[in-house]
Amino acid sequence: MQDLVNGLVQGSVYSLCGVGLVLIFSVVRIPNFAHGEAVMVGAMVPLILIGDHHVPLIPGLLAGVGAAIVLGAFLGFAVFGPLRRLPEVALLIVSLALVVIIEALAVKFWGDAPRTTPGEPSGVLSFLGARFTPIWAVIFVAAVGSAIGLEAYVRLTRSGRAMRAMALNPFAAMLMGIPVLRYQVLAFAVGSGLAGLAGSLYGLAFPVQSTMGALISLKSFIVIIFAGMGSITGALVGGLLLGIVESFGGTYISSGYRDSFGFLFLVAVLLLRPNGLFARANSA
Amino acid sequence: MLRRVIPLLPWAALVGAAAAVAVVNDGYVTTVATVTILWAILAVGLNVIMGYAGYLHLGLGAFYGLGAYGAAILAVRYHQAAWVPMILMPLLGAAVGAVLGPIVLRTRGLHFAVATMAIGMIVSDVSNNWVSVTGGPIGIAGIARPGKFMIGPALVNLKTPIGFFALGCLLLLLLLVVGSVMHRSRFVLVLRGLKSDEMLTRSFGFPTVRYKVAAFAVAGAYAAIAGVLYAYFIQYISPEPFTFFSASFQAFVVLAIGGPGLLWGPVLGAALLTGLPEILQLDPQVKLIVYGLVLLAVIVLLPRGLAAGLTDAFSYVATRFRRAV
Repeated sequence: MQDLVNGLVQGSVYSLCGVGLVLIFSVVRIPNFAHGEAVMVGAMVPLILIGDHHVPLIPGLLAGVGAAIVLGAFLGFAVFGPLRRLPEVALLIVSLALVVIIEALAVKFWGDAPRTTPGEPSGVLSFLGARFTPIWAVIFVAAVGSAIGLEAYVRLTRSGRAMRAMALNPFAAMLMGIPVLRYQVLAFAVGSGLAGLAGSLYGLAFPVQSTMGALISLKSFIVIIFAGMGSITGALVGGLLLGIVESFGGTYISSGYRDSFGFLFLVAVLLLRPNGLFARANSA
Repeated sequence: MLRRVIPLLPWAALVGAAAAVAVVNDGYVTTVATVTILWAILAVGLNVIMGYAGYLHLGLGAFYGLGAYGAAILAVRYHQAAWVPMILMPLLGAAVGAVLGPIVLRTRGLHFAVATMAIGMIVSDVSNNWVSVTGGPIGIAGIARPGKFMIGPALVNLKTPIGFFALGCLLLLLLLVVGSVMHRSRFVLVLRGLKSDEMLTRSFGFPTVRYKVAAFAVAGAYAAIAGVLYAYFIQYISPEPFTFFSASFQAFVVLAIGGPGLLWGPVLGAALLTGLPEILQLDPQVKLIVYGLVLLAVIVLLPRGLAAGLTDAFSYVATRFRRAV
C-alpha cells in the first residue's frame, strides 16, 4: 500500500508535466524538450525565494508557477514562433539546445546542489495503512484537478475549441481566422504553467536541482506516448501508471534500476500497442 | 575534369588535416583530433539510420557504451588482445541492433526517438548499477593499449598519442570508404525511398522493415567500433561518457549540424563541434551556453546542415565563376 501511495505521488508529478506537454504537443506539434525546464524553474524559483529570501510560502509557490508561465510564453512566442515551420528534426534540436542553454544558466545562477524547499506543512496523514504528508495529497489533487480542468477547458470554452481545431489541422484553422500564433503562445503558457505547478509542489516534498529538467522532459514524453499523444485523460492515467511501475519496481526488484522500469515499460507498451495505450484519433 | 576532382577534395582535405596533426605532433592537438575521430565514426554510423532512413535515433550511447564496456571487460578481466574486441564488439553491436530493431522500429517519428532514448537510459542505469560486471559508477580502469603495431609498411607505437591517432585515422578512413560505398548502394537508395514514402517503397516489393533493421544494426556496429576505440584511447571507462547528453545527444547534434544524408556531413560536424569548445576557453557553464546558441544559429541559418550549406555555397561560386568566364 505504501508503495502504491509513493507511486501515485510520483506519478501525479509526471501526470501534471505530461498533461501540460500534451496540450503543447497536440496543439502545435512541437517536440518541446524544454518542457522539463519549466518544471525546473517552477521548482527552483520558490526554493530560492522561500529558502534564501524568506518569502512566505504561498506567494513563493505562485512566483514559481508565474516564472514557468513566463518561460513558456517566451519560448512559445520568441523561439518557436518564428521557427515553427522548421522540420521536426530541427525543432527537436532547437528544443534540446534550449535545454542545454537553460540548464547551464540555471546552474550558473542557482548552483546544482539538490535541495528541498522549506515550509512544507507538517503532519502525517494515513490511509489504509499508508502514511503520507499533506503535501502529497495536495500534489495528487492538483494532478487530477488540473487534468479535469484542462479537459473541460478544451471542450467547453471558445479558445479551447480553437486549440482543438489547431490540433486537427493547423492550416485549416488558420484559414478559419484563428490567430494561430496567439494560441500557440497560450498553449505554451498554460502547459508550462502546469509544469511549473508540478515543479513547485514537488520541491516542497522532494529535493530538486537545476539539472533535473532533462529527465523530467523524457518522462513527460514517455507519459504522452503511453497516452497516445493527444489525450489529456490518457496523460493523467499514463503518468500515474508510470509512477506506480517505478515505485513497485524500485521496491520489489531493485532500487538502483528505478528509472529503467519506466523505460522498459515504455518499450513493452510500444511492442504491444505502437500507438499508445489510450490511442484515439487526433484530439486535444 | 572539375566534376571528377570535386568528390575527391574532401578525402584530400581529410588526409591533409591528419598529416598536419601528425606534423605538429602536439599532445593536446593530437588528443582533440582523436576525439574528433570518435565523433566522426559515431556520426557516420548514425547517418545510415538517421540521415538516409530518417529515423531519429537518440540511443546511440547504448551501443557506444556496449563497445567500450565490452572492450574494457575483455581486456581487463579476460586479458584478450586488442583485436579481439575490435572484431567481436561491432558484431555484438550489430546483433543487439538486429534484435532490438524490430521492436523499436515498429514506431516512427517522435515515438522512435523516445523509444531509442529509453534504451540509452536503460543502458546508463545498467552500467551504473550492475557493479559486478561494469564496476558501477567507479568504472573499469587499467585498459592497456597494445604496443608497437605494423600498419602496412610503417611501424606505429600505439602507446604514444600520435601512434594511436594514426590507428584512429586508419579506422576512420576504412569506415568512410565503407560509408561511401554504402552511400551509392541500392541499400541506401531503398532507405532514402522509405524515408520519403514507406508505403510506396514497400509496394515496389522492398521489405522495408528488414532494410530499416539493417540500418539500425549498422549504426550499432559503427557505435560499438567507436566505443572500443574510446576504451583503448582513454584507458578507463565509467558510465558518464555514455549518458544521453554526453553521447547520444552529442552524436545526434554532430550529424544534424554536419548534414544528415550527406557523406561528409558527419565528419564536418565532428570537426566543428569538437574543435569549437576547445577553441572557446571559457567557464564551463558559459561554454555550454555558447554551444547551445551556436547550435540554434546553425539550425536556423542552415537547416540542412553545414555540408549542404557548403555545397550550395560552392556551386553558387562555381556558377558565378563560369558566368564570369
